Amino acid sequence: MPASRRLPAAGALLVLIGAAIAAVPALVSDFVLLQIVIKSLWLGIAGTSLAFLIGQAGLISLAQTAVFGASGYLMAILVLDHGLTIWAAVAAAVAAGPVAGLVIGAISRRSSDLYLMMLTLAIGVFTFFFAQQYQPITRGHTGFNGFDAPLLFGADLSERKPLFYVSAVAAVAVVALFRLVMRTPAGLAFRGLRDNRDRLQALGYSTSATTISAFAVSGFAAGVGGVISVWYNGAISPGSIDITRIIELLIVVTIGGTIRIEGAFLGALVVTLLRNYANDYTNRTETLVGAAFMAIVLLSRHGLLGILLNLKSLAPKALRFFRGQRMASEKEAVA
Amino acid sequence: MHPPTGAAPPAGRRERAEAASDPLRYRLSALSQRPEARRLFGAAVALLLVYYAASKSLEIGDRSLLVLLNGLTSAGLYFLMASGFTLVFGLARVTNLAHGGIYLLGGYAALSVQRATDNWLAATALGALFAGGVSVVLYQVLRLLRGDGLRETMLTLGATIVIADQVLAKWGGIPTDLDPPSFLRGSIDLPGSALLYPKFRLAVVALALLAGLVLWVLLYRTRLGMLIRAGVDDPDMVSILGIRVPLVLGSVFVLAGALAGIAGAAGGTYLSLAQGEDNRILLASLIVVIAGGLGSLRGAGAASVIVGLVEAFAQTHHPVLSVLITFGMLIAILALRPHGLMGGADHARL
Repeated sequence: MPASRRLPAAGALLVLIGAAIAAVPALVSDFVLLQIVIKSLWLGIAGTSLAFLIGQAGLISLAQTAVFGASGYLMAILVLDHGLTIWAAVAAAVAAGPVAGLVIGAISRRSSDLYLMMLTLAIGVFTFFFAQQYQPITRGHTGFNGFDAPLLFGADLSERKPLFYVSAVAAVAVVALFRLVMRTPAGLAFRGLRDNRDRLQALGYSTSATTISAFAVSGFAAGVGGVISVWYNGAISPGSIDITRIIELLIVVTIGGTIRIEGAFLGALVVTLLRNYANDYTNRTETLVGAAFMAIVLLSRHGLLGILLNLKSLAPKALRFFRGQRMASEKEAVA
Repeated sequence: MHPPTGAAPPAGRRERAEAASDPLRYRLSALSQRPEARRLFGAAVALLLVYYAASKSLEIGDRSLLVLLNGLTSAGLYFLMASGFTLVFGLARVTNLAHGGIYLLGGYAALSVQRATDNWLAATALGALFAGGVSVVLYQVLRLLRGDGLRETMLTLGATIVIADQVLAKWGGIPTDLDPPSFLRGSIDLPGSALLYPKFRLAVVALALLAGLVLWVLLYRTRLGMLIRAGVDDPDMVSILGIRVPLVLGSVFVLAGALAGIAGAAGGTYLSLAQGEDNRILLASLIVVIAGGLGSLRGAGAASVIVGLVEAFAQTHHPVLSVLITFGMLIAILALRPHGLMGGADHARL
């Protein structure tokens, strides 16, 4: 389809998404908006960075919380310790995402598969210990508290609705950016990395450079997620990037499914709902979350999204099956 | 185009092109491809580190001995963990990230037994048995995925969460520890210095050496060990020869779990049992296994000593930067040897 014909469709989609976003605060209660919707949004934004790495480049990274933490910490440090104006700090923090991704990519550029997973896990856990131990900069295990979300055009982002709109717009922007990258030659190279490293190398691409740039691109979303999470929580501490969070991000992405990066938002919604409402029935929420994760891993290669898409492709099959039955019975009647 | 030195030419075309444009880099890459040169370099770095550690420590007297002993004690614990981890990877190609959780389970199970019987050895034995049992249950679940390595690893991550939460539910969140057995209580005088050192910590080193010896005998002097080694080399061929590979794999999982359980009991005695200990020990064994080379038992042994010593040194001299130093060492090793000290590209060497 030529671009000129796709443009109106994309515009219509944007209008539709905009209308949906505008409608959400009216449809849900204030509690749900804050505890479920906004939280799923920033968790989902951070999740898209991992979903992109896994789904597009085939790189399972457990170091995305390190990027997330680097951005969040940088913003908190610049504002609270160095008195920088907030939007300058935000810009620096968002820029820190790709830079942190670049560093992680450079460290793990020669690894793949399980080895990469272990190396990035070591990086992620190392970042946590660094935040906990290196008190002069990170304030040790208390971290930074009392961070005030900024004002945007006079709207206070520490209030629900403005924060929701900003997070939603950020989510759409991040997804749009990823979709854009996927359509460039670089996006094709990332998929080459996922599908066949040897062939990619034979075609003259450097797998190291491709890996590093994939990490850098994904770092952007993790950084944005980190910034919004600090606005949301008003704080960041080593607890925000410990191994539980590392696994949580992987759970979000796995439950959602990585065939589409948007799956991260579905996963984030499911995990946030579980964390919030499972408490009413059991004290062992974590066991439930872990068990749900294990069940999804066992049942489906592509998470909930995979199951849903399967259903979608099953529906026409089922329809055809029943139609076939009817036609057979009609034939019998004719005979 | 002839390379400027007589060394083996680099493999890729890209590298060769790079080499032509940058002779120094070419020479470095040629050097890094010679095993003797690499070993020499590794030994030199190690010697330099030891020298630096010793000279730095001598200024404050007996601390160097303390650093050495603390390092060896951690090395013992890390070897108990890493040997099982690396064995499971070598044979089953499973990275069991629940290994830290199994360590904690073994330690806590031993704690319960000790509270009931007041017998450290029985507690450790039962803790190891319990950990081995959990490990083999995990293996049965992993079998459902039929060798899809990445999903298997994710499953073990899920198991980590479930185990940590169940431990919290059963034993609570307050840090606790086991009492050492009566004959290992107290400290001994270290010869040639005024220091006292806990007996139990020395026993951990002995325990690790014993475990290493038992593993060696098992791997190189028994039929099961032969099957394990053959399985690491070529699992398909072993199964074609009529060996029931799942049985061999299952026994390796039990062995690895039991070793983690013993480590949990030992670590729970001289360190503590607490929430988060599982992650700390998992990170340490990951670093050991990655630095040593995945699937290599000898690599795990060598790396556990290096990691233990570097960590003890860093904690004594630069407590704030200790994690950074340990991690810097890992990055340095990986920069020189992307597959660890004794790991091959695809082929694991036991």
